[in-house]
Amino acid sequence: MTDKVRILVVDDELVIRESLHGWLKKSGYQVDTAEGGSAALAMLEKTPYDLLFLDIMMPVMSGIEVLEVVKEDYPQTLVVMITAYGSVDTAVEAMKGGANDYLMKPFDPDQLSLLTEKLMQQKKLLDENIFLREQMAEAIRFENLVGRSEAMQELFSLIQDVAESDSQVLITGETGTGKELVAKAIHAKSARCNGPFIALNCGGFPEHLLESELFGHERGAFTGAHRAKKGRLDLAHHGTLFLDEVGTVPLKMQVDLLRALETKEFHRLGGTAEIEVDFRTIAATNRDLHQAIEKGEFRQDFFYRLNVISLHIPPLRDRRDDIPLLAEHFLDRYSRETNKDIDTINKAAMAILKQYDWPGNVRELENAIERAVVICKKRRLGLEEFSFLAPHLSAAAETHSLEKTQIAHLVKVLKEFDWNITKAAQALEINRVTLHKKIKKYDLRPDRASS
Amino acid sequence: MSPVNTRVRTATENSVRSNHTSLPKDGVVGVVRLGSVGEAVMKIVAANLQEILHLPVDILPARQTPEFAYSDQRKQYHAALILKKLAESRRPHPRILALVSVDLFIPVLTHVFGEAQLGGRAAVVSLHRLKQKEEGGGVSLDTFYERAAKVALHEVAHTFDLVHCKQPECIMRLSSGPTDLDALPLFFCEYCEAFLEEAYRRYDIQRLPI
Repeated sequence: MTDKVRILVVDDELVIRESLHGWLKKSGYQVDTAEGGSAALAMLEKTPYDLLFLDIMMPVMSGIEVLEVVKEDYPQTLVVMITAYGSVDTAVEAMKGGANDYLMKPFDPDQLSLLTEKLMQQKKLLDENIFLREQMAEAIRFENLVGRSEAMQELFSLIQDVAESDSQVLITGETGTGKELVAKAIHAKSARCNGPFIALNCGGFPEHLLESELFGHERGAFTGAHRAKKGRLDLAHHGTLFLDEVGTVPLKMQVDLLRALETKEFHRLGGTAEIEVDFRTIAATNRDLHQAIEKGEFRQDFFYRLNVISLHIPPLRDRRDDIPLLAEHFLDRYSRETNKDIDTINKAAMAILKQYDWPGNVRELENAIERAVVICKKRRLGLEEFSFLAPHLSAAAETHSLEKTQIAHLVKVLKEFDWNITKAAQALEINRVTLHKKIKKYDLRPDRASS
Repeated sequence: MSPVNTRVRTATENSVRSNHTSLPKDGVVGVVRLGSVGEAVMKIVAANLQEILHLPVDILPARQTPEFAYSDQRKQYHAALILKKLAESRRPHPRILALVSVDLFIPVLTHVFGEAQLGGRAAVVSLHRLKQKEEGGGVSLDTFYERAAKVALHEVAHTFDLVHCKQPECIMRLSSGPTDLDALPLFFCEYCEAFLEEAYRRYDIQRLPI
């Protein structure tokens, strides 16, 4: 039984749709039909089809135009072009455009069954490839870190080496690059992995509270200290203490912390008893600590204590090759979390993601994908889901793609004439039918004009 | 396996089928020839359907070649139009199979050996291409009868919702030509047999005792 294979037959002729539908149903396939390109694309947005039988000659939107969109947005869907006898040239054009095969009407039944079988085998191989790719993706993931770029692969290797030692580590990198994830990866790979991982954002507390958070306090140590409380140093016993934004720790407290890190002993606020602890420290900062030392804002001895081993995470703009991988990783996560069946990011949208500079780094990319998934009502993320990025794209990063320039120009003119097709077509010096075709092809709508 | 040649009841006969004593008044499958189709092939097809499907089969009075389904452009007969007409038959039979000697097509295919309404009432088999070898020349009468019985069985099974089967030893396997057809057995694989039983229950059809 082949009941999991879904096929969409797209043809403007009812008899062709009906007879192909009937024949394929008898082979156990799940078959739907669409009478035109727009209807087909609307169905593809909702349903993952394995195979499309697509008529080349259709009014409004030709099969070749539909093929372009399918190859762009749904590259996993196989396409067989249907052509009339004698139009082999168009079929060849379609094959160049990415069609998997073509059939000339009427087809020989043997040819149809052999081709369908062959394509289903091909589809199986493609699915197996995806599975293998997913397995390979494990290799480019390190704990929860993702990256195939040389810089990230080096970082993964360094994390592995660092984890084996018990030395203090200083992680540097811009905000959002994943410093805490690196710290967690080191902890997970270390001998302390069964102990706690205690994180503290040093920049998140005013000075007096930070001290209490770090060292804990005894009952009555200060106003409001009704009960004794263990500090993070205490909680990190036998584990790893992660001090994020360590560059914000006040100078006075740096002295206390330095002593605690060196002696592995400290006392709680308001207490006198020395508490012995055993932990490893990993610190992180996005500040230039050398500069802070020069300015007298950071103690040099504290810096040397923290910076036994240093790891630098490059910003996302310096490893753009990782963007598609990360984007797909977050798409996978958020489509699962939101229970949405979104399986791909189309080429145009991915190009935008790769162009953007991501000042907020991986965290910003993650938020962008989450937002896109939440607003997406289709099976793929496209330009419209990332329209909020458009104003931030630098002029230098503007597209040189003829197609994208055309889309932008069409939208501009249509907006100028308040979507009056006749007037817009006159201004564009093309006829109304051509403009209609382009609007359908690029799925332009007033509410999407911003994209 | 050679096609069986047991006796089946014609619509005008009151006699009971040879092997079965408690048959309902009307059969489940009515077999009708449209145009010039031999008596022998009719009987062999009907007998095989009865034997393998375990359903009572009646041979219905012959009717004219379905000229209404002829396509001037294709010089063939439109199978879907024939099915539509058959499905409207006033005969009491839940399933109707027509045998024709003309060549059949559906719009998307160059030709078909047979066509059926999936889960519907009607099926049609063309004998036109069954008499020939793929490489040219005619086949023996036995081979021709066997092919006709196989296509008929395959098409009628479609009316009971059976779809093409991947098992090599099953009549529901899609055959890509007469040679492939010759290699198929004249029976269902165990899975299709089970699907068929389930379909009889679903359609409230009582099968003959084995």
